[in-house]
Amino acid sequence: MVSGRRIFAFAAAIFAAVLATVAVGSVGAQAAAASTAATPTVSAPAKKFGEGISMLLQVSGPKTLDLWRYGDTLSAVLMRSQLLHSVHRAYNDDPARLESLARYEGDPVVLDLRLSLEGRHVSARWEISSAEGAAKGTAAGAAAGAAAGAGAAEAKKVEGSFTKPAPSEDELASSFWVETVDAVNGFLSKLQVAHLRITGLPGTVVQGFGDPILLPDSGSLVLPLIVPARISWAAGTPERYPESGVFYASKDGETLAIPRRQWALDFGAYGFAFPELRLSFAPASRFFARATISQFGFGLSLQSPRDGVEEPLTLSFPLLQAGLGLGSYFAPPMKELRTYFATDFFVRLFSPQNRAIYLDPVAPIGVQPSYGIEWGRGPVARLYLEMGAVYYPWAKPGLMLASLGGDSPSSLVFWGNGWFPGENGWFLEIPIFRMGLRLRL
Amino acid sequence: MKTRASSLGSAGAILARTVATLLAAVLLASCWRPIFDEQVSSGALFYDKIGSPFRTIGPVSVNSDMIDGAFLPERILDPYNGFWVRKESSSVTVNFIKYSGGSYALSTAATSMPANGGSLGFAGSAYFATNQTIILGTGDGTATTTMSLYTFTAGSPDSLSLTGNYAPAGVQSVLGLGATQVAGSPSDTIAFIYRNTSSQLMAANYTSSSAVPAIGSNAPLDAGTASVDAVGRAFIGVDGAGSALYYYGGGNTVLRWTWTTGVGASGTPATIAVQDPLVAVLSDGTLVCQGKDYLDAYRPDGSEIFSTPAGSVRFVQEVDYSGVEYCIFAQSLFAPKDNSGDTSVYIELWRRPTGSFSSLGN
Repeated sequence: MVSGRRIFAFAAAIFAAVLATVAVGSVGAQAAAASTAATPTVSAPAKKFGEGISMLLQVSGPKTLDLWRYGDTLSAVLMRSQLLHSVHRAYNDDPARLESLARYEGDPVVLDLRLSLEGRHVSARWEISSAEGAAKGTAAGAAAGAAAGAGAAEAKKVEGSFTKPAPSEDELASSFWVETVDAVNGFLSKLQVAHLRITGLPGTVVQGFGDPILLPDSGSLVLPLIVPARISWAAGTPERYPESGVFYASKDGETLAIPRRQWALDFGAYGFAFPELRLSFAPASRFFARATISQFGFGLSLQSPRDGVEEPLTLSFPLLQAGLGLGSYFAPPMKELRTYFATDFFVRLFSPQNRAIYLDPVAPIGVQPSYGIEWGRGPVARLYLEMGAVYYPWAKPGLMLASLGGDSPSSLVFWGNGWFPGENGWFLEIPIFRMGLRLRL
Repeated sequence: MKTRASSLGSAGAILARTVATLLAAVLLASCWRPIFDEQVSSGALFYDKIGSPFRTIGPVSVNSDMIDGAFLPERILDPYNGFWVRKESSSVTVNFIKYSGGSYALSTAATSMPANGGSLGFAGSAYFATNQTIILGTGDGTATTTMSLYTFTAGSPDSLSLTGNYAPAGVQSVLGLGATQVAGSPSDTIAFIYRNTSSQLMAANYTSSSAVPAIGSNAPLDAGTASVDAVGRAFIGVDGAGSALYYYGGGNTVLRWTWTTGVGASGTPATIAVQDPLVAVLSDGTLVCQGKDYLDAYRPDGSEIFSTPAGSVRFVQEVDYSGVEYCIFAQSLFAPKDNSGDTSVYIELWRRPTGSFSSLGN
């Protein structure tokens, strides 16, 4: 039987915890969605990752000019530079693409190219920037400017222009862009380049640095980038929780560690009453090992008064369970609701009058298979509920029953052999509940 | 096609189901507690030291209100029967557990003893198989209490009756502190320990045995302070040429007075530090202390012999058999017969020669 007042207090606490988890999960999910939606546009990368930096080329001009033709040829010429890794292009007649690039914040350098037609001549004005002044008046430029480092002490900007006769195809591929390319190379050579190490689980795909990065088997790679820089990154694998964040790079030798979420810390309640702590490790996405310390020195009791006597609100037993377990999820990590099965092996330790610690001779070892449900919207905080049974293979059933002190067991119990006090047998208790909050580290 | 709205609705349903599941589980499991009792587990630790019981009594069907009690076996080496003595707030209730025809039965309880009720303190008990007499020392913390003597009609343990209140000769109004078997004496020797109106501690033999050098009224022990007045904490022990009176003062302290025949020791008692309450003094002078979980043994000078978990295995008494003293231990375990809530009690008895009592610490 349960006291209504205590049920209400307990339920309110659980509801508050659920709401808090939902709020945290929602924020995380939105951030992850925003990051993963910014699919980068790759302009035929012909180099290994880490060779050079990426650039956003904005091309604008009258519709009478074939802007795509000019942009593509300039991009191809620029890619001959060892300082550039990739060039992303955007045209003023392609608003959707501009919007897409605006959300993509990976390019630290922006080349704003403005073309105009003057009779039979083509006039080009460019502005190369890596700071706030890089992009004025376009969404893409605003995003790129933020990426290049809002905190830069000195805005880096180079401007130039030329007017030449309308070029042939050969001229576009060779001499037409000489001044522009020289200006870009000059600009790039003066930038402060630092090397950033990215670490994470092998196979993790990291976005936010131009092309998507695939972490190698070593789980680590180094890439150059212009600093200072504010990088909004997103990472994930098909079998991992998506991760995202913002990294501020300011000097050489820094490391961006993509959270691996292989460790989890559970703050739970055994039998909904006794706080316990559990640490788990998941080397793979579905399989995990865990260690649990269940203490019974303090617990909550929701029993209603018995024989007119108010039951104490807290319970205390000088008992401790220490266990190791293995388990496997039935669903991948990105699912809001995941179910799993685990089996824990534990020992029961007790301390009579707190003088010394002994292995409990009544039931020294227990095996606890359990079925769990884990729920959460983000990668960090998850609620879980487990239901299982405890099997004591080398117990003294008579003494287990005597340990109830004449009370009926709070669960269903079964036993074999050893009814008489002191005799050996097995003992089974079912069900056993656990619930709590799981934090992935 | 699944829309975002339907996704949100699905998530909300999942959340609602999760919360409902949690609350339902809380209701179901709110009464849960581990199947563990530190006394039972401590007692199981003691099995390795004390060995197998020589007698198992039960199962005896009992009511749940009998749980707070202790088994008092016959004062013989191989008892089958015994009393179940329960101390309550203002009385002592005794049932008789009798072996007959291969099974055990529980007699009707003799309740609310002594008849005069009051704020009863249980001062100790002794049970004699020979004449089926149980002696309960009682006291209520005033100077008007006497020792109560209850005797069963021979062969009819169900009919327990008060045969009279006993007071040492010449002393009609005393503060009873204990009724205890005298260690090292014939097993029917009981001493009453009391405090007179002059705050003097006295001990007197109930029987005519002279095993205890009488201190009588000629050699009173000075109680020293008024705090030596709790019932059930005083014990008599033989100490060398004389006798010793021990009083458990609570906490970690035992007071000890010694005397020889006709010579009272009225000075300040010696103080012995213990870890658990004093429950008996053996014939060889060993002090037996037992708390919730631990059994401790001390020499008369207060030095520790051993301290070991014993839990629900309780020291009961020391009996004499053909001149050899034995320590009797009993463990009373209540266990439900099944999930219906019916309860039975199992009583296991152990004996250990007093001469090898100290080996229990190994």
